[in-house]
Amino acid sequence: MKQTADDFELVEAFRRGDEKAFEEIVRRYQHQVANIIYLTLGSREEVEDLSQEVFIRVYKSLARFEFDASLYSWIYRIAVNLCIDEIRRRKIRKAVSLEFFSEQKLEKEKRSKERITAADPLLAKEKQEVIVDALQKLSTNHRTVLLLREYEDLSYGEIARTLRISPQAVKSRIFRAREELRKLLKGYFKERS
Amino acid sequence: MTHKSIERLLSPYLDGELPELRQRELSEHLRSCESCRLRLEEMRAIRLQIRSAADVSLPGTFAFSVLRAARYERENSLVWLGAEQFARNVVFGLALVVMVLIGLGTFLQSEPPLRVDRYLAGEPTDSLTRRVMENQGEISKEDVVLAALTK
Repeated sequence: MKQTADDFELVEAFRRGDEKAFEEIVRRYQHQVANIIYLTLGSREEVEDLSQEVFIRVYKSLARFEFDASLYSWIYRIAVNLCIDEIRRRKIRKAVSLEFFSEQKLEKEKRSKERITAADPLLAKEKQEVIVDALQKLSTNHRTVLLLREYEDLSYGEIARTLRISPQAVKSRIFRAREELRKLLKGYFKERS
Repeated sequence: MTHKSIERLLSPYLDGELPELRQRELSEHLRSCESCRLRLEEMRAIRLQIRSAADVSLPGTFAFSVLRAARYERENSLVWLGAEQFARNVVFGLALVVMVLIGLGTFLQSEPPLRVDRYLAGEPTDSLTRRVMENQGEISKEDVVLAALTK
């Protein structure tokens, strides 16, 4: 996760007022940011809006970026923080809306869920939906670390620096996240074999 | 090493994060242990699935849209910053005017100072009031006794 010469030049150009340089930074990292948001939140609907929010934050604070980490790990940290905020907001929204749910509505939802599961457990779901759903069941800490490892292919040291945690914590969280995922996907593996 | 502790090492083994010697020991173990091999395969399969699930792409105009939105936010915040500064100045100015007006009002409507002469005009030369006021408010024990007796 070294600072590429290009990134440095782009940031410097942006600081001199060249906004085309910022567009280039967006183009360079938009795919990774969008996918990390998708894998973290598990839904495609808000990916574009949230990706935009990430880059607007980048735009606002790029002048203060000090190159103490790679540009991407800095952008990634912004994306992760935004996802964590979004997860919190969703939890609050869910808790608030639940207060208004009647018992009957909850029962109806439960029945329709059971119907879908019983009719077609895993086969009807797309392969990627299965893994994305399973990822959503992990804690935010475990999911974030695992995605940095599996999707971003970062080393333990790089993950530790990006998330500002110890390499030992990285190692342990990755192990636990994998164990949880294995358990969650047990049926899926049996189906496949 | 117990089998359980070996299982714990499979995750860093997959990531190439074990010291070289340990990495070799694990490779050796995997040749003879089917359950560990299977576990490792499952972890590899999860990795592949995560990578293949990440297929979201953004529109070609995304970078341009972001730049436009960022500019808009910046300009908006500058407008707000200007408006905020203006409002602050107006409030400060008004507060200053109000304070000046209050001060002026107080100055113009202040009560005239009490004139001692007005009160002493009708008083006899040896009255208690005159004695007290002329002594600048000091009163002796005798004066109090005298005042009580004359009442």
